[in-house]
Amino acid sequence: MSQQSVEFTASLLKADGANVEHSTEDWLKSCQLDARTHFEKCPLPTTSEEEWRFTDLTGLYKSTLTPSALDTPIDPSVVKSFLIPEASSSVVLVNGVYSPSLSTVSSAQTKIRVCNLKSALNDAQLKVSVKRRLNSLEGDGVSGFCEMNTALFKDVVVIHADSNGNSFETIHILNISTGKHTFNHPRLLLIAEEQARVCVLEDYIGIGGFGYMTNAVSELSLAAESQVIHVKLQRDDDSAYHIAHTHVGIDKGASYQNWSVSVGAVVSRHNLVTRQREDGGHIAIKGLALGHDKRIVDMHSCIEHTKPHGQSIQVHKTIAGDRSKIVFNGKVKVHKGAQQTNSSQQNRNLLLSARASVDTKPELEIFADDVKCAHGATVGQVSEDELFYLKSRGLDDDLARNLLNYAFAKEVIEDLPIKSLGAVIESYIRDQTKI
Amino acid sequence: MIIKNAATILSVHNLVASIDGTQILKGFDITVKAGEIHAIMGPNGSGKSTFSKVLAGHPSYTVDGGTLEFKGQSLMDLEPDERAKLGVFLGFQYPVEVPGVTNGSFLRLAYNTVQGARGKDELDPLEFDDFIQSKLSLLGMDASFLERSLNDGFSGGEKKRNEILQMAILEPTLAILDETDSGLDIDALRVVANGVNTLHGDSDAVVLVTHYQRLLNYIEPDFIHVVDGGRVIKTGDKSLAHELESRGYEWVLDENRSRAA
Repeated sequence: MSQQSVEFTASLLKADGANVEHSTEDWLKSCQLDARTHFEKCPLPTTSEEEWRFTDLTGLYKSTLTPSALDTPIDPSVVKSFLIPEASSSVVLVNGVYSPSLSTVSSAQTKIRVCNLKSALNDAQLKVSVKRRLNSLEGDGVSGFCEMNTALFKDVVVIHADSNGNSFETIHILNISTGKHTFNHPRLLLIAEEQARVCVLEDYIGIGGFGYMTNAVSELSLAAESQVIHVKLQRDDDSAYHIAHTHVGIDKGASYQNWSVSVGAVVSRHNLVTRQREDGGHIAIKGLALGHDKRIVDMHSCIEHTKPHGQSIQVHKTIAGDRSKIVFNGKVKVHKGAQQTNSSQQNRNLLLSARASVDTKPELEIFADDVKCAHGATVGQVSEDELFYLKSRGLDDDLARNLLNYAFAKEVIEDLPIKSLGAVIESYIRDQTKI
Repeated sequence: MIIKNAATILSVHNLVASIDGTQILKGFDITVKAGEIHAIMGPNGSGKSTFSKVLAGHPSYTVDGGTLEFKGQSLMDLEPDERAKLGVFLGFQYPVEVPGVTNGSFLRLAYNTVQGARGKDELDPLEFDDFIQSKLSLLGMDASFLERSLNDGFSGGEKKRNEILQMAILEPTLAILDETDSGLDIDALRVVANGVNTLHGDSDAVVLVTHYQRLLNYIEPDFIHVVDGGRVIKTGDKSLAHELESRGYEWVLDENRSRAA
């Protein structure tokens, strides 16, 4: 197993070797080279590691992947069907690379800057922020996949938000994979300055792609009193491997709201680390994972309260059908001195089939004595009484079950700030929870 | 109302049913004709609620014998939804709370499913809104009911009203109302009873399952059946209810025991 991971790691580096296009920026060059060195020494994780014991990546490690082609033609009308009306800017990446022709970046205002790495480095002021924040991964949860992304990313989507009154602008980042057995390493850097407000949809799809690997890293930094809404929708192709690391740092009184919805890929793993860096701050995380066929969906979240008066609330719901395997590991760390932390975590899992499985592990590490930390995890089936009630009103078995599955998931998606996504996610639920 | 030569809606003969291996119904008989209102009364644990659940097709119960016919058709092998489409309606004693399912959209879904099965036109959301207004006012409910999750956080009275609202839109030929009066205050009881009386006509039938005579002051039954030990042990007209109210069940049970001896 481990040998497979080592060979896979080596093959990726070799495959990518010819394409490495190092920046003219020395700091960036050394950052990517350091990551490369580190990643060479420290291969990708396998199930023999505690943190990855349920995420079986053998299928990925056995496959031979090549770098994605950088100039894949793509039908703009297909891309358009995935766009959302709420977005003022749509940033389209094809195989990890920014596509200017498919993207629509609003230039109407200057408070929120959306650009690729090259443009960001051409702006003297923005360059300072990028240099400070890029690859400053916060907290734990970092794995070899992060290093791999840092070593091999081709571009970075940079979002820089200044204070802009009360309005939330929505930015859609659409990551499209088109390759067969290819890999790509999307990277996002979001910097919210004091009192800035912004809503970001990080969206992953496959168009024509098959058996590819998406290895994404997103870094978000929230300055004091800023508010960020971050929706991650993972709807990669059913044959794809999706690995994602999201690292969030939160300053005084800032608010971070995350929705993580996972309805694609054959194996997906999301490490979501949110770290309170100063006094106060509010973290809200809602998750939904659908398991069908033989899919593995693994969510590892870590909420770190390092300073007093932090608040966090987490609701993670999953529906496991067929022979799918769903994993939730929810860590909440309350550091020494982080008094009056108020944290709650709920994990609810619905099993639709006798062959599906759920592994759930709430993990609380509390080193302060004046805190409130609630947590709960349940695994259950559709209630026979609810089913009978709906059927006694004329709904057939399939329809009644579908309705109950949707009702179960609804808590997570009903207050999604991007309204048009509600119907999109609902259709995934209907399609993927059929008996 | 007893109508001469009315069609038989429900015919149950020697019905035997069990749950988890325990026999609850032990030879249950009842015949209900169009236009009639029947009341099934009896002490706790006599099998009243079991009968209503078996009739609606609850999967936890096993039918071990006897016949169960609705308008001449056996219900035995039919799923609960198939029975509902034919026109059987069970008003639940404890309506199930289903958070996340909006009452309004559920009612429209149920209505359209049943209408479709009966070969009638389905209604779009706007048409359904118009259709349901009169039904809501019949039960003294306002439109905000439709926005809430199905029975979620409803008071006892609201749940029962919602049951009768469902009866109003599904227009069943046979409505079995299981303890519809339990948990209702006098005002709510009046509203619910008035709803049932308004909905009931010559071509359908109502079976009330109840503990108390109180409901029967508002919905006047044509027949009263006393159930004990999973069987109907006495049938009479509405005066029987008054007698039960004043004398309790014991004398009927005694009468039955001495007959058996």
